Amino acid sequence: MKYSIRKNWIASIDMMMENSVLLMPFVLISFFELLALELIYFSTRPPLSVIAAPVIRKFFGEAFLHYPANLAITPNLFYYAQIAVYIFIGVLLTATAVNIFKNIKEKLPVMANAMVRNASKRYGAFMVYGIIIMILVAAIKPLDTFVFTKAFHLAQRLMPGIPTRLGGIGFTLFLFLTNFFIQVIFIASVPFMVLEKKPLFKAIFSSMTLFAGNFFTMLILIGLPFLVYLPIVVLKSLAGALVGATFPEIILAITVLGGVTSIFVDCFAIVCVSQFIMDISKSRGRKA
Amino acid sequence: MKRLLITLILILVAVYAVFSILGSGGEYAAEKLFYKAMKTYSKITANPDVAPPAMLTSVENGLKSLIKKYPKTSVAKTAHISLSELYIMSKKYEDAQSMLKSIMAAYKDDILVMSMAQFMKGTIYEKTNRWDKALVEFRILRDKYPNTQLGLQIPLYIGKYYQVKGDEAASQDAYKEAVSFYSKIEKENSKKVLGYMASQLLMQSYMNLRNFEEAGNVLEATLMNYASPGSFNQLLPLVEMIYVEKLKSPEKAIALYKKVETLFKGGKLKTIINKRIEILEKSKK
Repeated sequence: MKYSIRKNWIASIDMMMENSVLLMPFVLISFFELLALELIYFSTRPPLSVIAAPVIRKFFGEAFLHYPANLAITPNLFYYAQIAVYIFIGVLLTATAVNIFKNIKEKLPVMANAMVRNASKRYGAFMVYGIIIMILVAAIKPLDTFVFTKAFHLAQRLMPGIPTRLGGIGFTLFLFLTNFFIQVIFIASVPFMVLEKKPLFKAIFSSMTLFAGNFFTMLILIGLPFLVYLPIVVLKSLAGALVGATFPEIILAITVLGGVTSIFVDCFAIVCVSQFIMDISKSRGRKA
Repeated sequence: MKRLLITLILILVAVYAVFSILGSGGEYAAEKLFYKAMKTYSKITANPDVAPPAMLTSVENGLKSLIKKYPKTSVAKTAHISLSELYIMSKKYEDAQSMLKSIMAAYKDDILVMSMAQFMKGTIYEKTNRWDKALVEFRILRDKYPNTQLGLQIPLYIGKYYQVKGDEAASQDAYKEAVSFYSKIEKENSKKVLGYMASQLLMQSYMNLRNFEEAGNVLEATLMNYASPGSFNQLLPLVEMIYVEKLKSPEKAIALYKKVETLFKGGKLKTIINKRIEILEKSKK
């Protein structure tokens, strides 16, 4: 029987609206990211510059310690901060969200603190999962660059009218698509670890199998909500031009917008996937 | 959930407020003001004669405000220079001269700032058609600040001035003076960055004197004494320009290429040189 993605989305939205506690883990993730962003923003001024200035000077150069160049590297530094937040706390809180979802579904009490403590018992596994995903994302980028560069040069040879400046935004979209695919393939890992109490690598394998067996369903189920990120990704790639037309702080505004958006999109995606896993388990008669 | 959200927002606001207060004043705030003023300034420089007076005033006030609020910052130095440039651009020469006087009093130990102020002093006289006074200032710049970019380039600037005016004799004298100046600087700073820069300008001076033989000799000496991928990238294009185009001696270009080639172990540059040798040998036949 064909799976109803629409029913899944409606159920997920209803659950999020009736149980705002589901958003709590993602609010916390966003909070840590925005806190990191604040520290990055103030890193070129005392007192943080005492620690941050030598590091920025070494890796980026003296110019980036001054306004407005310091804002130009903010997205790069924020990216590294996001990686750290994801590995050390992001996956743990995502697991907590899945646990909250499960308790709501089974009409069990939802005590967020207890759930965080519960999830912490497998903190090591969640951290390893986070590291694996980040290594994958980092490893795929040079491959992306190679493939896109070759494809773009070929396209320019076949259609000489293609302007070179399209390459920048084209590459951004290509990278977005690749990262999206990684997300879709592995997004069910944490729900499998929490809902079916699978060990890490079995959960990763199950997630890959789920994607392979439900390719289009997963793509649409997760893909359409993730499209909300697309305008933000495009804005980020056009940040340089926007700064010239407006003011340098627009880079911060775009970054904050991304952080706030992720609360809802990531929560929705995890709830949808968890719902999908539960629905499949029920239809196969397996106990989630 | 609501309480948590409010608490987290308050924490973020508090962190922002604390760091804003701790980091207030100082270099960053001055840089922000400077950026704002320079954004408008860049629109003026595109076409200064048609810039609205309100725009000029806004930049002037912005820079003055920065200098008043943050006088000890390094941005204040740049603001002083920019303000002088603005006055010169808007033909307020008296204001410019007064500004330059205060710059030179305040930044005696900063030779870069002093050289820029000295240059602007000369520029004011030049723009008001008092070349004799401008020349005095430019010579002070050359003699007092020879280790600065402006001080190093001013002899050529003087020669160029006479050239543009069509005074061939005066330009020749100026370029000959430049040759003596750069030869001295190169000798005193041999194997250093300043020596390399002086060599390049010496070569240019000879080329302006149309003494391409000497220019070629300086080119060869520079390539040998300052051998590096950077210098080769910069100077090798001049080999054919001087020996083939001007002196019509491709064999001298080939000889120099072969000499330089011995300094390479391999790489893209060696391949390029071999290719050029091949092309020149074919063109000789």
